[in-house]
Amino acid sequence: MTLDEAEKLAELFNRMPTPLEFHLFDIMWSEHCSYKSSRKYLKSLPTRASQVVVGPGEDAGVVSFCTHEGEAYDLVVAHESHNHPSQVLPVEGAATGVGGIVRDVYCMGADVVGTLDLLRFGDPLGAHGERCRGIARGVVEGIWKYGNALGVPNLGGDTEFHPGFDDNCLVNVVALGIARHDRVVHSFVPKEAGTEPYVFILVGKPTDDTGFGGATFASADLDGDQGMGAVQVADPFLKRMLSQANRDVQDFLFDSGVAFGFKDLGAGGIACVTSEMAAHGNLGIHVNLDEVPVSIPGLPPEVAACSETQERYGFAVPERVAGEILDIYNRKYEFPRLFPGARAAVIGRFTNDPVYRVTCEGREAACAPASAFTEGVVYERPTEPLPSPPPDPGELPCDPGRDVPAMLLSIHGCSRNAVWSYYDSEVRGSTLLRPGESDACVIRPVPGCSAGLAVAGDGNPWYGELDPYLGGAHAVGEAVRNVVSVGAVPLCATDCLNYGSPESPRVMRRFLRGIEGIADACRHLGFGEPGEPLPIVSGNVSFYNQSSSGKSIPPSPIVAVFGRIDEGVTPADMVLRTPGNKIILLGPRRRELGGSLYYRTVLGHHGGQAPLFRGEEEAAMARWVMERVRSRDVESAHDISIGGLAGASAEMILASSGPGIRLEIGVDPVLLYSETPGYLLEMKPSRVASLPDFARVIGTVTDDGCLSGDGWSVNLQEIKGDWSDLLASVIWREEGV
Amino acid sequence: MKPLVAVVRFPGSNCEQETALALESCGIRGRVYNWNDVGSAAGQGCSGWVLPGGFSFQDRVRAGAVAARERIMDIVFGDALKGKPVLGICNGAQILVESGLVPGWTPGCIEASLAGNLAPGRTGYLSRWVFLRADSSGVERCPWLSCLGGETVPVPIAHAEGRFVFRDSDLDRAESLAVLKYVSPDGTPADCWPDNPNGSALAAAGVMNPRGNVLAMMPHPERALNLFHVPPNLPGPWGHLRRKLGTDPGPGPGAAFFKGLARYLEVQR
Amino acid sequence: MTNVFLAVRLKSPDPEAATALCTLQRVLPTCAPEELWRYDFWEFSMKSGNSGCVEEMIGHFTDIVNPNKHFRFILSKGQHPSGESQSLSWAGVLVRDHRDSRSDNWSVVLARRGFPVEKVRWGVLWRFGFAEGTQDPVGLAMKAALSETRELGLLANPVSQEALPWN
Repeated sequence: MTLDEAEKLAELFNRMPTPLEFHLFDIMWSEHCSYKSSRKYLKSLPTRASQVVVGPGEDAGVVSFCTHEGEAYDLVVAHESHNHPSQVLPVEGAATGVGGIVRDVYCMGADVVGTLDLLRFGDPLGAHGERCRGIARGVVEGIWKYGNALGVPNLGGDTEFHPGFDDNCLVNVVALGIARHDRVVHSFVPKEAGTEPYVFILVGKPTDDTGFGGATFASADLDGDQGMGAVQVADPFLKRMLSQANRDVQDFLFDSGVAFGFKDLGAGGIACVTSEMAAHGNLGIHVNLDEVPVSIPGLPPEVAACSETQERYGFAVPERVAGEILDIYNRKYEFPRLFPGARAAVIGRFTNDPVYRVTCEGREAACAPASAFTEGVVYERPTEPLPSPPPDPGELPCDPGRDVPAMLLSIHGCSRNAVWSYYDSEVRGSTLLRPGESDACVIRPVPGCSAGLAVAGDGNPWYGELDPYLGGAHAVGEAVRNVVSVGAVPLCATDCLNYGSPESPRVMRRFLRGIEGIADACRHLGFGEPGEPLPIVSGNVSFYNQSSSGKSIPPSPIVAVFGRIDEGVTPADMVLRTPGNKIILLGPRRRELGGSLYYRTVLGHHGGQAPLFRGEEEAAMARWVMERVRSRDVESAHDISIGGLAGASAEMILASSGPGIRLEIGVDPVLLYSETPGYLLEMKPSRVASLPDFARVIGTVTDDGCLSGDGWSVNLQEIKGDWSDLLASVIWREEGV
Repeated sequence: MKPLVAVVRFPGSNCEQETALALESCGIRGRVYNWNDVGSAAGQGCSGWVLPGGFSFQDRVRAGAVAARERIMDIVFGDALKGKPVLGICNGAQILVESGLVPGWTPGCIEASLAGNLAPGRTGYLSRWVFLRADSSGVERCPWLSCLGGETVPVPIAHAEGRFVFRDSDLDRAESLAVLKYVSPDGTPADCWPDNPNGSALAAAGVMNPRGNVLAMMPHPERALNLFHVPPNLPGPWGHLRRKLGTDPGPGPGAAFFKGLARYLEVQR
Repeated sequence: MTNVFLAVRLKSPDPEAATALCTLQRVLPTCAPEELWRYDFWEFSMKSGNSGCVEEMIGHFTDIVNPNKHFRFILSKGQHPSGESQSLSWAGVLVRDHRDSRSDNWSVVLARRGFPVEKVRWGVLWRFGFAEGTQDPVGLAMKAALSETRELGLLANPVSQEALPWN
């Protein structure tokens, strides 16, 4: 908390705050919780559309998904970062990242049906390679140990390596769930609490002192051993048991027609949850810390109230049903036996008097007026113009026989199969397409219903470096293309905006430009009601991703998009089907190779003009692809992004066993390597009727397993093994380092 | 009245819903029982048991070790000795091994292990599709394998501790119980990685007890129940069918495991 | 060749040790101690004259020791890690797989990175703190380890693992 903020706090209370009050507001007014540097600008993101049930503001976003046998189902999505903890404790940081995000979806009353992880690591072969490799191994371990145990399938994501993340890795996680529309749970205490006694029940792990001050940790620079005590310990086993018990309790409450509120405990622990629940319901609450189950006796009140012990939830329910609820946790599910000290307990009472009171050992530890909680802190940080990036190189030497293997056998272009092989992508039995088989993973989340859900996430740090506006726009564009490629209609998006310090005017400018890019892209790429955007329904801002020396990460807006595949539509994958079929290119290639895989791995060039974002063209291409997949005209499909047309064709060949592609392209670096957004579709010759002006036939499927063109050929079967194994050899086997 | 098969959910199990669904799809009543719901499970008189996949007790100490010592396993143990069909899938297989039901030469004695995967350069969880073949004695004697015939069947695995280990002196008699084996996509026996994904002795993916009513298998047949479950890039006839038919309805390679049980229970009645 | 032993313990309470203790209390109460601690246990077989560089070597790999979450103890054979309460009678059991990939892979990786390591062997060290005056703590600990049957032992599967006293 800054001096100014502390003075403001004293003014609000009209006295010096108690230690508990001080800690509570320190956390609530941290960047992580309050969005004080970003809130003003986030308002420009489009968040409204007809399919949105709950927009940003609660723990997760909710959109209508489908109706099956008379029951309406909603999609519930949340997206967050757990960057700083993962740099220090990669296994636990990543695990609690997954734990935190699934909690946000569970607490809306949804069953979690999948997660994605979007990872940015430092250069594994650079100056800090050893540390970066250890972090990469640890993060993947944390994700699999938590996610696989929890029984939630991993539905993809992406992994990028850039020296800008050497000191500050990024671990962004997305969770998605399905809830019955009439059983979506809200997080505030219901209005019924104004007329009958309502209590607050705390369930889960006994409170300890770990994670104390985690919200402020996320908002500070990383420096040596600082922050050790702030990292939480993950327990997916307890989380899974809790989610089953929570479901039982929610079913009981809905079936009994009882109004309730439900929320998970994250940053700021008990204090944040109880104050927010009460304030949003316009009520007060009296919390008695003596009733809180603890694993360490004698915790000072500010620690008991603010610690961030994992795996805890809170219910606001009428006092008359409290006993039955406690029984479900303590007797039916035997929590006290499964985890020492874990249980459900009543720890607070809601009051009509709008005051937030906390007592401990009979003494008052906090007494804040409800108005203090709605007073926020908002900053308008100064910005500064950005320097221009270096120009494009004069020459573009092109030798596909050498370039394509160089691109595919780099840490950037190689297969990510090594990462996915640790993840369970099939638990729950409803996965149709797994990572590597298509651009977006596809599941059928509603039992008995063949409507598909497609998800993908993206964010290219090299575009972000060159042009922060394009970094934002293409994060949306690429995720949309990935979802469209499988034949899904985009429904909504989530974002996580990862940047350096908002106190740096240049970082602030990059942040604003990134938001503009995302907003513009979302406005162009809405496919619901005419005129409506693609709505952002949940998201997160992560600032202060910089080392103590002031080095910021490259601007990293990361976006996830969620789409629906209607019943009766077969999703398209990227496995080539039949020699003789045609390859159609969508998206005319332009000379805009800044940030491309070709520049980076073949020329070693970091500069130039990144691909522009052409909203109308992207929207038109997407509509055409969705139409073609619905009409069963598409044999296989892949979007064009990193690696351009050559990279995309190669990836289709590598995903298949046998077919190759012969392109009608000579030695032309712009046609082959430009990353202008687009798609490649495999279609039977009989289905290639009149093509729109953004599309043309670019090649034919062969049976030779090669990627070839006029005057050149690359035998991909010869490099397939190395392409598939490269990441494992560098990161896990430490070969060639 | 359709036969009832109990699917036991331990704390940390996570495949129980789709396992029950797989049973239901083959005309069997598949009901999930909590591990501590011993009274209901005992009282319902089920015709068989399935221990599903997951991470019971978070795999603490050793996968399956703690669950094997829960009271509900006393009932499963008794029913297994009476000859009722019992299937353990993945974590369920680990629980059967740690309960001494598989290989079961001396029921109750621990005579095998499902140890950590051995794969070159790699430690930990491995998630991928494998190819299996049931041998004729398995098809004859084990209800779960009775619909398999001699064909090569693709099924996914997802585990960190899936390597069957036997004492050297037991390898000979274990051979006759290792009735479900890893093979290459074209059906030839797997002698090493990658066709044998975890270094399992005898290339065993599934091991039954001498009587044949209990089967502990590491692969997940419930995740290959439908054609749409098959990966589009899988080698062999199932992959070919998937590429041709897309995600149209149709059974997948895993359905046979549950159909085998359904047919056996039908005959029993 | 010299063997150097490294024991690594979590700074925060170990859920695995907690579950093991709960289970012993339920199924083998006579073998259940007052306290049960669990360590990742590494045996480094170093080329002659190189035992001193283990400390430096493990500093390169947070997978083995991460000082942000681990206490670590370099031990000689039979030596137990410090920090155990004097008012209890302690006995240890070292459980190791006959063959495991963690040992295989670290042996290769450390050698590849140029450290003078012949072999690495990983295992789990369990330390039982029985009430003072308990008869034969070593025997009780071994009994808790070897699970010959479903009713006996818990910590080691006799077919794929060995359990040795470590005191």
